[in-house]
Amino acid sequence: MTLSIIAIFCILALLYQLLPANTRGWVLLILSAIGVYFLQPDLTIRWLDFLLPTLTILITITTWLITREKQQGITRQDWLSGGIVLALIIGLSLLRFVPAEWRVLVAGRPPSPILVALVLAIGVAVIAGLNRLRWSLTVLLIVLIGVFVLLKTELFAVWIAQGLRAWEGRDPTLATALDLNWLGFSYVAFRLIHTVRDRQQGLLPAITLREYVTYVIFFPSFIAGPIDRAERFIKDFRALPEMQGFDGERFTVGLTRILIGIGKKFVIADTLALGMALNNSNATQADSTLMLWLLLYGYALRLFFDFSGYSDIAIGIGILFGIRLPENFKQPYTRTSITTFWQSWHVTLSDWARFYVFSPLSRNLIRRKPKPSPILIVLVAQLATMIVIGLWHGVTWSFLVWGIWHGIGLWLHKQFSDRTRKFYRELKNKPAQQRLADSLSWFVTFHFVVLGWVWFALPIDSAVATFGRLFGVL
Amino acid sequence: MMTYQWLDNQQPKTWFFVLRVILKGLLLFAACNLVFAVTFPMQWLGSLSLYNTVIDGRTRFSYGEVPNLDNSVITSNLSALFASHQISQPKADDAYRVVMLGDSGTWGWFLREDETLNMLLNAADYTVDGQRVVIYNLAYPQGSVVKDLLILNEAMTYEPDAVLWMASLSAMEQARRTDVPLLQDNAALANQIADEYGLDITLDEPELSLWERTIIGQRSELSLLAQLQTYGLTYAATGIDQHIPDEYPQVRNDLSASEAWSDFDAPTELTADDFSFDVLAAGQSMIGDKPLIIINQPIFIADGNNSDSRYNSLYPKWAYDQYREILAEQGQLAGWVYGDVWNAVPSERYTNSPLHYDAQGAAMVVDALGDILMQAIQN
Repeated sequence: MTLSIIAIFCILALLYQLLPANTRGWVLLILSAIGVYFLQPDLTIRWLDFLLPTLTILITITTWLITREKQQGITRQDWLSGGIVLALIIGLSLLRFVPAEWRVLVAGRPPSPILVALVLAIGVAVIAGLNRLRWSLTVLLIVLIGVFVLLKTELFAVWIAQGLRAWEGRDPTLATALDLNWLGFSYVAFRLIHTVRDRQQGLLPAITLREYVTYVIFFPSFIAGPIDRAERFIKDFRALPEMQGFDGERFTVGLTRILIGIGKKFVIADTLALGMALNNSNATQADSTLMLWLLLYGYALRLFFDFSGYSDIAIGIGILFGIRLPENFKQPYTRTSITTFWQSWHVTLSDWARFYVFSPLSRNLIRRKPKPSPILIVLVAQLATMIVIGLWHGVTWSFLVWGIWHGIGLWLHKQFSDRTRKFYRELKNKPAQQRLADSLSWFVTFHFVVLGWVWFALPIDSAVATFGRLFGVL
Repeated sequence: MMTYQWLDNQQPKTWFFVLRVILKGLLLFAACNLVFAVTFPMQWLGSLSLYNTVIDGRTRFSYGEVPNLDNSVITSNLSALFASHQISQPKADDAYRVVMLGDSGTWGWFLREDETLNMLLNAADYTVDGQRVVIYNLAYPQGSVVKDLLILNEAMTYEPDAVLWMASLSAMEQARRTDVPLLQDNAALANQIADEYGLDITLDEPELSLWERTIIGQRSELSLLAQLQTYGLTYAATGIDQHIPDEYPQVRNDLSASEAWSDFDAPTELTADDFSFDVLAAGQSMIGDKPLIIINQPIFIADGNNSDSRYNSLYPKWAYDQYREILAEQGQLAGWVYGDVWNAVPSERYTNSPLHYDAQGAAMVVDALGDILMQAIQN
């Protein structure tokens, strides 16, 4: 998200206050649908930068249809929402006939509206077919996870890109994973999986198509989260007609949040990225251990300010439009244990993983006969959870090791805290010792996290070498 | 609703409050810009540096065409360039400072820091009258002796004891001697120096508008100053100030048939007026009675197509031969110590240009330079 896009969203937020209260939901739907195309970067493979956003919307509609309660019919409002979204897609494809300099809402030249209509027709047919399947929820889950794995695994992504390039008659050897830069899909997929799993467990409330589509592709959080929960989002969405239009309090908080986010992302994080943060090239070139540590600290700070800055901007824009997105970063580097770190770092992602990996897996393991030991159950569940979080960033050895690193860290902390609970309880009456223990805990936690970033930042071979050099081993 | 401590006061956050905050913010920002435009503290800001205090100073000026690979930026802010250079450290009592001027060849294009001429000379541990000879690389990868004079003028603050000036035909060319960005970006100072030393040089001094003098107008320059500091950490961590690619286009051995040079389309008789000897003389005046050593730097000598009429892609033989002859004559007349190492480096040691040689080439130049330098400063 660039500064100009943030400025556009702020101006739109001002205009939004002028609208009649009962149109706000519709406007958010329209803005979000257009936002999917507007935010998508230009791709080298022809039409892909139009077709991928279209697929995002089609998958979202499909998932709504399949996850809605069976007794929940398709209302006039749902038909209208679907119609508006499909009309918007066709409308955007008409930008094909507009000069390139006026084509600001889409990344490249869209395909012909006839082709788009054909794609939509096929999409609707697939949706209808899937909806009739008995195991449609499971099939959908497999499809979502499958597409996610294909996109996040560089080898597969390159194969697909090579295929598409060859089909276009272009040189397949130039294919890269970036050819399939499907903006926002990581977040979209996790929101969709959340609704599918909640429907399977009977937890998902009744949601209209308008609410569902806006929730999944809500433009402030489309690129970089947070991963909101549907039931929380619709509470705010349904309250939009009651929201006071020009509310000074809301604008103060929202704009402040955006400014803080801009400062974090564009001033601090981007400055740290200019030579003050670890990367693959300076990691191999650094000739002193001290400097390597400084670069690693720089990377840790850069990552925090980058991610949390984006979250602040998204939350701030959301507030301007009347949707309060969940907090994603809560001073994570001040935490005194790895467990509390993960309750304050990328909170919505770790909550997601807790709900849909840790809890079901540990429940399943507890029910097994013979029941595994509690220590083993926690270890397996923690490892699986953190590996999922790691691989969500990309299917690579580095992210796998990063996930294992944190999985083991969380497990070790659980064992440690189980055995030292009494000691820490007694410390509460000894302030000096408590402070010392807290300082030591912070130091250990912070450095555990910081060392973990080595796996996150570098390819695996370079990470192993860097890890050794940080301790003067290699 | 989530809020912040400093907002959490008794004042209601009405629209009037929001507008007032925005208005105050804008006024404050406008006032800051105005003060900045009036005081225009770019050179002062350039002198604020983490180098030589928090991190080691650079051994050569920052010049990075691809900053994130080179850990360097290209800036024309002389204060920033010098503040980031190790010459800004206080002069030690036992140090004999020699500043080395020149273009990209002397700067050490595609050479690691420790392979550059000054570092190799420093490694030889020369002494004079019990003082350590410390050679500072103040070359800048743009070819013009006027640009060297500008740098020398700034370097005088750092008490040099001698000047080693690596000349080249391109840098000495009279016709285009002010066509380099560092000079044009410091036109006022260059004109002032020209006036002081009676040089026939007048650079256009574009008057910056008030808007161009504001923080917003100077945002690119300010960003470069900040980047020069941030890349300092990676530079300090790696010792790398230029990315040397594994592969690059090699220097051309087959040459065009053209014999044009400067404003001359065909061979002609050249005189001292076709070269910038007045600038070298100004340099001598600037440093007073301290030794000035002029060296004609090495060039690539091609043996491919048209090598009978040209030495390389930059120089036709007729112009280069006359330049060497006139340079030697003028050096003798002016009483400069003069050395000519034009063919000190065999052609296979050149990298991507007729003026850029590899580490072994640099060692050969140093072999030839060491004696000339020591003789000059011992006398």
